[in-house]
Amino acid sequence: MGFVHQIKAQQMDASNTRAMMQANFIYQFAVNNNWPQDARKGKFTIGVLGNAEVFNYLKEKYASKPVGSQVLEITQVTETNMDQNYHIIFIDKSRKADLAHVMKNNKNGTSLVVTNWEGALSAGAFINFKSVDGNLRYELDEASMSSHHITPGQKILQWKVN
Amino acid sequence: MKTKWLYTAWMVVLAVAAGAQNLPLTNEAAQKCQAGDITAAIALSEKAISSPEEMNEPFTWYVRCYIFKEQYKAKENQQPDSPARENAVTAINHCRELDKDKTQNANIRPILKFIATSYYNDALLVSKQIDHQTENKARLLFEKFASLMKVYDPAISMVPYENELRKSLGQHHYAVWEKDNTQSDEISDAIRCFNEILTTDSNNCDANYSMAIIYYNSAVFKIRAIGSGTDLMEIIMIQDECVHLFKSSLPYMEKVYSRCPQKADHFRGMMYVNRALGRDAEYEKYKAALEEAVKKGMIKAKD
Repeated sequence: MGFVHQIKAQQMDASNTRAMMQANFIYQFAVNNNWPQDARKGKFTIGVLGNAEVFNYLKEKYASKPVGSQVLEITQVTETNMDQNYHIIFIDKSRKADLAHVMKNNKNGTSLVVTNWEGALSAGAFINFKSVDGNLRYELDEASMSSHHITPGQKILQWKVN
Repeated sequence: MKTKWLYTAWMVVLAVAAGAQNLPLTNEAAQKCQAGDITAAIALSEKAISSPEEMNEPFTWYVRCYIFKEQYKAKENQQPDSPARENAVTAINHCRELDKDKTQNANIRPILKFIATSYYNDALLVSKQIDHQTENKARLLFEKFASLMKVYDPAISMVPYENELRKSLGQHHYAVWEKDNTQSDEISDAIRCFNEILTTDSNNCDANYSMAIIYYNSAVFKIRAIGSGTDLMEIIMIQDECVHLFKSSLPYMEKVYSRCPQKADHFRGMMYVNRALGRDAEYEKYKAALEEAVKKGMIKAKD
């Protein structure tokens, strides 16, 4: 009789936790900020420009969930639907060149523009993800949000970083 | 072929012993065993060990352990708590106690090794069925293996065998937890098992890799559990906890990456942990290194 047992190693979970966390925060931005009255009817729309993983996690986890009395709809943004009005538009750093176009289109709109690269806030984004000692956190420009009639909720303000 | 050879060897042993010693019950028990009638052989062996003429002969006990080994092989080799195997061990011990001149040593050794190995295999088998409450079953079987192997070869090191058992236990505890994340005892047990390996061998690749995965995957599962019912403050707290776990994973993965034979999974490990910690440049560095290593044929992408 010989030694017979072979042991199979564990597998690492390949999920992109950074994308998952961004998706989680984007949903929190949806439910914890306040949009003007005329934006509180129909569907609540989140557009994702670039980063298919953030889009997929949002869709998998949060599609059709309620945001107040609205139902959440997640859309992958491309050149063809970039000019639509979204309650939140997330622009990934892989598409940073499109920020200016989105900002121009949103000049009088009520889209919350969320990004994830250094310096995006000064380039016009309202909320920008940043890494703080390994944690994903966010900075925000309250004045820019207010000028687009979006009122940041207390919880959102409480957890922002500078 | 091997079976035939062993059978022939057994016949020679019995013929020599039968000619040399006047042990009628023992010899008859051996003959019954040869003929495949193990039940009769056991009954005769019982009489032999009660007979004043035969009970103190090492050969009587050798034959008894052989018979019970055959009983174990024939009927109980799927039973970790096989009584026949226990009886064989008891007979071996009696035989050795009586056999001051070591006349049965050569006969006993292959049986000793066979039974020891069977205990080891059973320890690993049981290690895949245990839980937090029953881990000791596997360890007790291992102790039986270890005590017999030390008789077989007093110089043998038990460390590699013990570490293999710890690895199996650790992986099983982890698998139980992976199926049901509420079983927090199981993940603690898995960490304890792999830490036991690292105490004896701090560079053990499997244990370091397992520790890296346990910490990393624990965090991923916590993040995966976040949903629409999770409050923002809760998310922040979960993330803090997860970052701590990712940071705990990193040194183990770094050790695997720098000291163990290269595998694509080790590159991916460095990629994923760094990505989880928001270290994009490091993620890209290891991603490029993986692509380069695959391109040069140093590793296979699926390793």
